[in-house]
Amino acid sequence: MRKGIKNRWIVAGFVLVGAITGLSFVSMDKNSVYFYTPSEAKAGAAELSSDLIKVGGMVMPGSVTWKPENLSLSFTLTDLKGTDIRVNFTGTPPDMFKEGQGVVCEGTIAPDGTGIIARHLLVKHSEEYKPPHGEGASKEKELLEKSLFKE
Amino acid sequence: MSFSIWNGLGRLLLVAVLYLWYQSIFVLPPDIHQGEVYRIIYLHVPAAFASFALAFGLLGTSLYGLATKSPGSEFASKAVAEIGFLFTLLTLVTGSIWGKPTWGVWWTWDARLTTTFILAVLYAGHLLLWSSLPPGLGRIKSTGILGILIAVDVPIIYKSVTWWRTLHQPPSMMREGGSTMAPEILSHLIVSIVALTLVSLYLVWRRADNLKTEWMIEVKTLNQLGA
Amino acid sequence: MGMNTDPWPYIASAYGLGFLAIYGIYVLLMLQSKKLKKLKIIAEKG
Repeated sequence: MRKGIKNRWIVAGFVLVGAITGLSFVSMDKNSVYFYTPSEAKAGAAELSSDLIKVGGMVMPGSVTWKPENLSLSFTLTDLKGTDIRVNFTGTPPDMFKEGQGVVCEGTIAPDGTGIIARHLLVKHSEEYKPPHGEGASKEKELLEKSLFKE
Repeated sequence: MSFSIWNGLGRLLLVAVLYLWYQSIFVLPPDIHQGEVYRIIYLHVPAAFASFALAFGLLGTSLYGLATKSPGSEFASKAVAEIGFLFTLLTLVTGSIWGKPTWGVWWTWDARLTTTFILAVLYAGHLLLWSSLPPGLGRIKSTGILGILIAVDVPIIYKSVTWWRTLHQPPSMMREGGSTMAPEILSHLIVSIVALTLVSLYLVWRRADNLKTEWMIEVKTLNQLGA
Repeated sequence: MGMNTDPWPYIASAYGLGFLAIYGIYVLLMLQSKKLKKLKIIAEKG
């Protein structure tokens, strides 16, 4: 084969292999969940404490403490069914962070599952879209609960 | 209908999309949760749907090629793959721009984003293969396989937010219990999806036509040189 | 808490890139068509 065509075959081959590898990462295997729920994280805290993990839940209303002087944020991550974990984070949270919001905390969990030190906070918002003065009550809480705590 | 009528319609659609974008940015109301930045939805979701529609178009041209071995199918496949790739990239980039001020990150490897990234990689693979191989059955077969993989990935992308836990929100339109969008937002989004998908088809049609003409010129020139 | 980011640069970049991608490709396709039309005539003359 001429060199130019052979190189393209190689590149195309890598592309294909890369795609298939990627697909297998997104498998149904429990070991590759994108984030744990608070109860899953607490249950597995001893083994998970040495890893960087993601835990997703809702910001419990009334639980947020924010000290702008040293950018120190703490709040309770809840699954709305009685499992709560305290989260500590240093930095400015995303704009959409608020009480009642969905949040995925990337960080480390204490071996006893009581607290998380978060390195990153990712807001997980609902799929509801409506104007500010629209009709009807918001379904935000219900939608978030459904998509945060499935399986 | 003649070339110039279809062409005229295509150009009209391009203008219509500009007007829809104007409405998206200046006329539609803001969102109660995300404020103004949600307006990116009127470009991001239509681009995604266009890339999905083209993926199924590519499946069609690939299967047609495998069945008939027709050289015309090769131009159609290449054109669809090129425009499909463009719209997939646009989906990823607009999604990333939307994600930063809302989720707080430009990117994350959740199932929705990962499977869409894979779609872009598969489209790129198709284009690379097409350019590396001479016309004919070999190329039809190998690009055909990619065409099938692309079409398989699309329903996975769509269902990813339902099957797995993701950062990306679940569907707001086609879901049990009805849409979670206010009527004016939903209807503008649907019109935008239809318009942009039709625009993508127009671009595919013009590109395929150019590829065919290019090939005809090459053949004629080679024949003249040969003779 | 934290700053409220200005959304408009994000909106502008998204639609700006969309414009460049879609209308840019359209312009390139039109230019290509024009060129091919001329080449076709030359090729047919032989």
